[in-house]
Amino acid sequence: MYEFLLLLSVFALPALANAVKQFKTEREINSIEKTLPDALLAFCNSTNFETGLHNAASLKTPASILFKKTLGLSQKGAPMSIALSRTFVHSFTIQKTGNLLAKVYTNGNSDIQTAKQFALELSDSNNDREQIEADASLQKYSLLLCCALLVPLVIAFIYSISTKASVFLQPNAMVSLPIITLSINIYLILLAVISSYFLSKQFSAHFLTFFSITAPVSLLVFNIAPFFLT
Amino acid sequence: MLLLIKLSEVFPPLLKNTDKQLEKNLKLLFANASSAKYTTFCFAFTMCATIISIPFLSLLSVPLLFALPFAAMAFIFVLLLPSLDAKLKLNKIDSSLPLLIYSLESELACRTNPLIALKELRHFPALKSEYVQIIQLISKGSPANLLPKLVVTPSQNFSKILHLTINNDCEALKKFRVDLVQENKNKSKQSAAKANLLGTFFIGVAAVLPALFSAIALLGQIVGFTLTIFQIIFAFVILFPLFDASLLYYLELNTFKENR
Repeated sequence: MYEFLLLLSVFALPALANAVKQFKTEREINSIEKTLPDALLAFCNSTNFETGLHNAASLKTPASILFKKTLGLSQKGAPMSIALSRTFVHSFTIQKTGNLLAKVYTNGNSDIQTAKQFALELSDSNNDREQIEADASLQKYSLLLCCALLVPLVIAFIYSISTKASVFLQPNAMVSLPIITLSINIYLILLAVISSYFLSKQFSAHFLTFFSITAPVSLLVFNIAPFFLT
Repeated sequence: MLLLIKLSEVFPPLLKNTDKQLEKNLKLLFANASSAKYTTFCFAFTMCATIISIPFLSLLSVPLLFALPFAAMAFIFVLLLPSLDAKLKLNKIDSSLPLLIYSLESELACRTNPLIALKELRHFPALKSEYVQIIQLISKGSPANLLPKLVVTPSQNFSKILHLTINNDCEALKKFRVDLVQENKNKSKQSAAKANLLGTFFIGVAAVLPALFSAIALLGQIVGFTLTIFQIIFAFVILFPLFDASLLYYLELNTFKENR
């Protein structure tokens, strides 16, 4: 069993690395989207497109880095629409902002009011989304915690008490002990598969991202907890 | 789900189902689906599953009569699957709508043609079938004002958005988006409350039940109750995971998550 656990952990490492990478990317996108309205408003304060970009780039926020990159690409000779489409890529909202900026560049000042309105609405929408996402992430982490820690811990606790009681009360029961231990281990793996599948569907992440956390942790907790509970 | 519906197409329409909702949900998932064929398929599927399960029931030392309620439950579940799937699809669509309106609004504000603005739908995977339908209808030359009626979708909100976009009504779109966001916030709160309740239940089903079962398997002999090895394996490998999967599926049906 311990060899299997070790093997699983080794195989889970790349998936875990992927999970960390995904988490970091998500955090980066969140921070850009959060600061995007301010950068966009700073951009709208100027009637000249390039000055607007400079204004937004000078804010020193995650979103302002995008404006800085756009300026850099444009100074290297890339057409503005291409520079915008290359830098504003992280998420749908960010892409939408890039498209809008491209339109402001093409149509001139007539669309600057639309951009301003877009920035204000983006700010409202960020607040609303934060509330909805807080509820959703609460569900995600409760389920993850439940499958990885709580379920194996409860099973390990009751199972270790019953094992000890059975040794005293009826030594013949020890015959079925390996079967039950193996069945519980298989059950924990199946539970990890099921919960990871549902979590990955709900949160548009890869199945292995969740499985690489729940499977080894739950097996480890179940097999190690009895030593601490005695 | 689509595979099941396509498989049902080879069955003859022996059993008539008067449930119009089922017909509607089947059509949403697969245009040529028929409720009579699907009901016949469900019946045949349940019969096959029951016959296959008979040797297992004798191995589990369970009376064969127990197969009947399980067969009835399986029949109802397979019959309900299209409705559940349609509900999931509706949830996904509704959660994408505020962002879609937001995107359409910005396009219309930049004086983009409403039909070209509808291309924004391509960014939303949940609205893929609706997007394909719109493209097909436009290429066939259908009048734009008839699109909301012609596009088959489970979401009435989407039809309304289509109507407002074609009429280039930016203000109404904005008002509708504000209402939808509020509605989504309420849905999200409700789903979080349900998830809390289900979470407690989930711990009971996923942790306490297997733990107690293992205790019974070990200590049951004291009171003369013995479990066979096959029963133990069946409980841990099939029964408990099935309970967990059902609960999580129910949780997924009631979960609301706003799409980006």
